[in-house]
Amino acid sequence: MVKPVVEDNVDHILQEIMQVDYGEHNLLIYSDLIALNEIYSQYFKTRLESNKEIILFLSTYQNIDHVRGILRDAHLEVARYEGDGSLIIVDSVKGYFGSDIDVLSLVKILSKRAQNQGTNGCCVFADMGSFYVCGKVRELLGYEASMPLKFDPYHIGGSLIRCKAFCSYHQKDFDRLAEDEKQSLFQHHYRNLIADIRNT
Amino acid sequence: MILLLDDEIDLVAPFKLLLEKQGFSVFGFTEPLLALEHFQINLHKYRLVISDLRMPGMNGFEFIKKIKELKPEVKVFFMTAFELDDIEFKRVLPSVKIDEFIQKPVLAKNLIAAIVKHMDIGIQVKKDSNGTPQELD
Repeated sequence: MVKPVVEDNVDHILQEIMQVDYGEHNLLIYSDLIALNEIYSQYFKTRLESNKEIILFLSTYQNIDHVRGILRDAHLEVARYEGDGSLIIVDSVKGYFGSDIDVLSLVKILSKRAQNQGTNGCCVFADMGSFYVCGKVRELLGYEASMPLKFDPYHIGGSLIRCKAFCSYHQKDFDRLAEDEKQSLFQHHYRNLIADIRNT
Repeated sequence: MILLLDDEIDLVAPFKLLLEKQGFSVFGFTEPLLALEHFQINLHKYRLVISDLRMPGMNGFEFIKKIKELKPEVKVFFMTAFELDDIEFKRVLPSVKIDEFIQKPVLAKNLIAAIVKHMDIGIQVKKDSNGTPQELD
């Protein structure tokens, strides 16, 4: 069965993203960094300011200071949320391929924080460009295929922990995949979203 | 002649301008495929290629690998706004010689000094009205 793909302007895709439930493992393709910036800055602002979730952002094409600048431009109190542990920004290359940071460990730490802070759960927003940067596209396909469409909630210290994930791809990276690889990625994600700034 | 590649036009334009003011002939690109095509057509004129590392579509490693296949003796610099460490380099480019790694933001005098060093030419670094070398993002 062919999975549906929602392709629209940034505003509409942002509305879709705001409706995502915990447990969902979703795919987001962005036409350029302007589109990505708009999506993550608005999403993070909304979720962090309402104390709804804890966010882990893995960035590939913008360094951490640049991401902080984008978020500050969106009037988000970056230092405050990084300080209280509800926002973690990581270089995606280090997160997936470095020896000192491990994405899954970070998610566990985040989950504990979510539990302690009484938020609804955590959100992992990961740019998969790092797999391209490191020449690991085959491993990327295997990694995505190993992930479920929906993550089961799990318990830590008697509390239910809920996570949702967005695997983001620059359109130019996604376009390098063969058609069957693209379809395979669509099949392994709960929602498939394409945000195109040109539609705005 | 210098080829400059970065996916952000906001970075290509000032770098190109700066180097041209120093007397270099510079062609700037934001699209790796276009840059490769131009390099191939003007193979004998190019002496230096300066490329960003992390770019969507074709990253700097892939680009430089193709450049070196076309002209092994050309000098190559990588520029990056990310912390320079071994993760990317060891995994992707174990055998290709990179002449300089440049961390952004870079002082104009440092960039020009690196170019002068590798292109074996003498040139004066231009300064602003206060006598300070320009810093580039």
